Amino acid sequence: MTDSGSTTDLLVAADAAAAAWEARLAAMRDQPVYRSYERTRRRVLALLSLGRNRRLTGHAPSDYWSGELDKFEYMLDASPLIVEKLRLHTHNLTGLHANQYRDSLRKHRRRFREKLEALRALDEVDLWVPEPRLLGGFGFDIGGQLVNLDTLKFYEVLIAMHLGAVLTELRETTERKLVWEIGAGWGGFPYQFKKQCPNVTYVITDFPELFLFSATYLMAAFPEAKVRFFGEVPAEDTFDGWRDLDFIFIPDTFHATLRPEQVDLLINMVSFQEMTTQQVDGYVRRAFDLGCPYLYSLNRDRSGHNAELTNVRSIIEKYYWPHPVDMLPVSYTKMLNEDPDEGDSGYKHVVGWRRV
Amino acid sequence: MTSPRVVIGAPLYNHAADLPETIESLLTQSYREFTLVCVDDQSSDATGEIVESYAARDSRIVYVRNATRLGMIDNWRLAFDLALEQSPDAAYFAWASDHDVWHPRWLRVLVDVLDRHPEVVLAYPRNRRIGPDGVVIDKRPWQFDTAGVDALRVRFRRTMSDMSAGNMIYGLGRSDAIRRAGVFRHVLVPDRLLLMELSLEGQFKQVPEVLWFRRWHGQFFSLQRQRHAFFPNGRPLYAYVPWWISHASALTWILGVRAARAPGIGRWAGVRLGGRYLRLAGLLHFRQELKAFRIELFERATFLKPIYVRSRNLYRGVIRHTGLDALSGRWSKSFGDAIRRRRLVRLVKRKARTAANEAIGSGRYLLRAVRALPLMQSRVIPWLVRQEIDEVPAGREVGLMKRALRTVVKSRKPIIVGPWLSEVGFEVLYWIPFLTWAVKEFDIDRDRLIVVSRGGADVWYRDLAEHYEDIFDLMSVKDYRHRNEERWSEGGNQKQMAPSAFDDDIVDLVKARRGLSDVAVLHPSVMYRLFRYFWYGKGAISLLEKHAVYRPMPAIDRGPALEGLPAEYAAVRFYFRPSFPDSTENRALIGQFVQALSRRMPVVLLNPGLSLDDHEDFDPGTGKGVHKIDHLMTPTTNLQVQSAVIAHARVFVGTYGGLSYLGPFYGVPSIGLFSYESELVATHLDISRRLSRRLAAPLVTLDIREVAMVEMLFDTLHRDSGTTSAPRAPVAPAS
Repeated sequence: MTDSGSTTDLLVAADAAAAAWEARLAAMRDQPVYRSYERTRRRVLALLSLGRNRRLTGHAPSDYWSGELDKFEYMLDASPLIVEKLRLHTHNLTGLHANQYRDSLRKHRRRFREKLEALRALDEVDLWVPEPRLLGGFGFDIGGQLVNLDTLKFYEVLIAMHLGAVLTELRETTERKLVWEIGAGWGGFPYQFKKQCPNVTYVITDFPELFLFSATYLMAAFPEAKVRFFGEVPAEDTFDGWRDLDFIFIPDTFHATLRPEQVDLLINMVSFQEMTTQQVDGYVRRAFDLGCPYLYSLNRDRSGHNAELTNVRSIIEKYYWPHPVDMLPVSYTKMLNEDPDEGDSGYKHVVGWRRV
Repeated sequence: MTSPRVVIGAPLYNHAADLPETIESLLTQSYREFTLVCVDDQSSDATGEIVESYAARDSRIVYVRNATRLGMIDNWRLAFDLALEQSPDAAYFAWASDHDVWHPRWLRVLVDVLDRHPEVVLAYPRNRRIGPDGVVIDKRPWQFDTAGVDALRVRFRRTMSDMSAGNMIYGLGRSDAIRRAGVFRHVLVPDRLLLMELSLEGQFKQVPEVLWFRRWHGQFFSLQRQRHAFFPNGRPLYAYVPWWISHASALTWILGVRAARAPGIGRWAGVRLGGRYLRLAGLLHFRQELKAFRIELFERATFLKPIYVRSRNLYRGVIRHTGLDALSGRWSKSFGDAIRRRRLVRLVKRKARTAANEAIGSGRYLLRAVRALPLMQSRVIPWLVRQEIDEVPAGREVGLMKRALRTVVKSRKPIIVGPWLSEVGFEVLYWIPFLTWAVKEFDIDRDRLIVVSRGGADVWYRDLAEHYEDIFDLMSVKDYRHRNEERWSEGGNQKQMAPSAFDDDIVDLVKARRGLSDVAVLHPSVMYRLFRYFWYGKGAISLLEKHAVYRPMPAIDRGPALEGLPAEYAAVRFYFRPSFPDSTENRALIGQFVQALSRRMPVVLLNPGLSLDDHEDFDPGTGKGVHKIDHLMTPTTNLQVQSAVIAHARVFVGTYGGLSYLGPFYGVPSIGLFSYESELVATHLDISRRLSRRLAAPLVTLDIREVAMVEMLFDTLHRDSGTTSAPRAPVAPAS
């Protein structure tokens, strides 16, 4: 009797635990972060159905990206638990895993600290923004702040922009500015940029699937931010009232149909080099046509495997005067004392000034 | 239309190549209300056409071409006059060069500074120097201004001692102040004089942003060139007066005699300022000469620089340690008031300066005399310069390497050399020659050295070290592979750029095995970090030649294990790597090649049948005349056996890299095959060629598709050597 009684008690306790778990999940679904994700998902699904003609319009992702996008299809139906640890899933885009930043990897930690110090030495105006402990943010804990390869990369980019004299205006502006990034990945750079330049409307053009990461992340990082997705208003009104918005998400297939009244800076990091000549030319020419005075690029002339691209710099040069910004002797992928692989040494920070 | 507030005068002369970017950088300024007056001093290139093409599109440009060549000073003056004539209401004026580049915000920021600060007469940004291709060529922007300094004399003195005219003259200034300051006077270094006069007008403000990129075509400041550029129609006599004297005279005349200066400067004050300028500028000139002499001296005789630095540090150390630098308090008490103390300091300084002048003066004459010797001119100086250039990029690393070696040698402890965990090719081609050099250079006792490598590589180190530890005696092959792969993934590649945890563990194991409590470690990172400058094209070949000794490997006995091999044979080993990828075509070509080769000469396959590194071995199979020796090899002996086979081979053929470098060390010709030339590293190829020349054994690299050429080569070899005997046990015939 005693045994069966205790088993019954255990089963009751287990049911209660399951119910509590479901209640927790239900509560998480009501959290603003998950609601942001659901909003993003609705828009992404709509944009995906709109973008079915990708191949016809010449916006088809490369073979590489097709494979990559397939890898995180599960994000279209992410549970609250996945969203709660969203950063742990961004390895699908960056290749960076949280376990590469374990405390026990002291040597790596030291290298990160050294690189951070080297970057700080170049930083004249305190542009450092650490990785927030948000949605599973990870990195080495250095001085109580999280630092990972992306954090350092974005910091380096901000410094390069400052040294290229395009950032001060955006940081200190009293008039609203519009910055347009092609390929924002999981949203790490827009986060840092927005922290440094709050009076900016940040437009992100990317594969719609990636908005599941970037839009969710940015809405969590800036809960008060005003966000608009392409398609939430009639297409021609996408930029209406843009000065009141913080982020605008536009799928790669539709960027050419829109005409913002001003663009103050075009940003691209490490994705021009993966595109075709036609695609890069399309983006740069578009920025030029829109009167965008500056362009910032962190790219190699061409990825080793990309045979469909002539040379990023020569395309930029057609519309913008390129000005390389000298940074550290190693590329963003490497730590200071690492062997500079030939392939990695081709990354260049370039600030372009619009031609006449 | 109202006259703009800003006017830019651009004196032009023969810079057509840079001009489009220069003009566009001005026309795309975010502050658009300005006139650009371009004054072409009879350029003989396309300058005129370029400016006119822009002028046709943009009404802000005014183009004027001089009827006769005026020279730089008059052209700059004309640019100023025409600009103000064109825009008489322009409160602000800037000169623009015909080759620099301005950031789109340059003008807006400077106008803003002048608008907000009426006390400022000249505003300029930080700048970076760029090369002809637009790449930034120096790191730190120069900084100086006199913002906030109201005292005229302080501004004058600071400007005198700290200004850099070239970094300021293209700033935005107040037109009336520039006019009062005489625009460009007819003297050498006129920009300097103008800035001195402007310093009397008001403050200079530097914007702490890089908004200007100065294009540098590799020309240093030269008075000779100035004379040529300023006075194209013949140099007047005053062009040969030392610039600081002519500047001081001009100041004295303008301020003291003509009293043509703003209120606040009387005649007497003007004369005193002229005198002050003479003294300060003369001193500055002397200092600059001294500095130029020092730089020249150190460029020519590099060995003097460390001596100089050491002596200076020693002097400072002595001053600090003896407390002389802390004497000032007591000094004050002993010598009373500040005036007396200052006089005393001045006296001491003067005496020191006189003594230094005498010493430097005679030294300089001596140096000139030595430099004039024909042998110095033809041999010694070029050699010294070459030495300097060779070592510049890796100079710091050479110092660190030598310091590391010195520390290891001085420790008097047993020295663990390694552990070597990386590729065979780098070990043979760089690590062992580097060690050979280090042992000789630092006279290291071979009995102290414990080489740590793997796979029986001790045969390569016998001349160098008394002791050897094989890693496979310390741990299993599986553990080694696992830990080593972990190391690669942490470090990003195989190269041992820094000691890893795995290295440390191996050192601990060696210590434990040999019962050593304390050892010094000569880690491969010392070599890797130095030679990477050469591998990545940042250092010259002399970096390697100075720090590596290439000599034959110690001879290896044929030994009983290889008894069964034919008297003459070709040693063959193929594996796949980026320059020779795993493809159906390559597999087929290797198969055909080995078959064709075996028809001419017995072939011994070196494939160890072990998986020890990242290379994927390719076994071309068996056939008549093909012999395998994998049964002779164990993890701890595989390199030893392969070395022995190569050392006694007629020729080695295999994948380029790794073992193909080994042949020449044993006097055996080697043929390294590849199929993707673009994957070959030019620096390794270069070294392999030098190696084969130095050791008098050919090392040939060939595309596998040129099999016919290889066969032809073998026919020649075969004809020279005659027929070969059949194999004997214990080497198992594979056919």
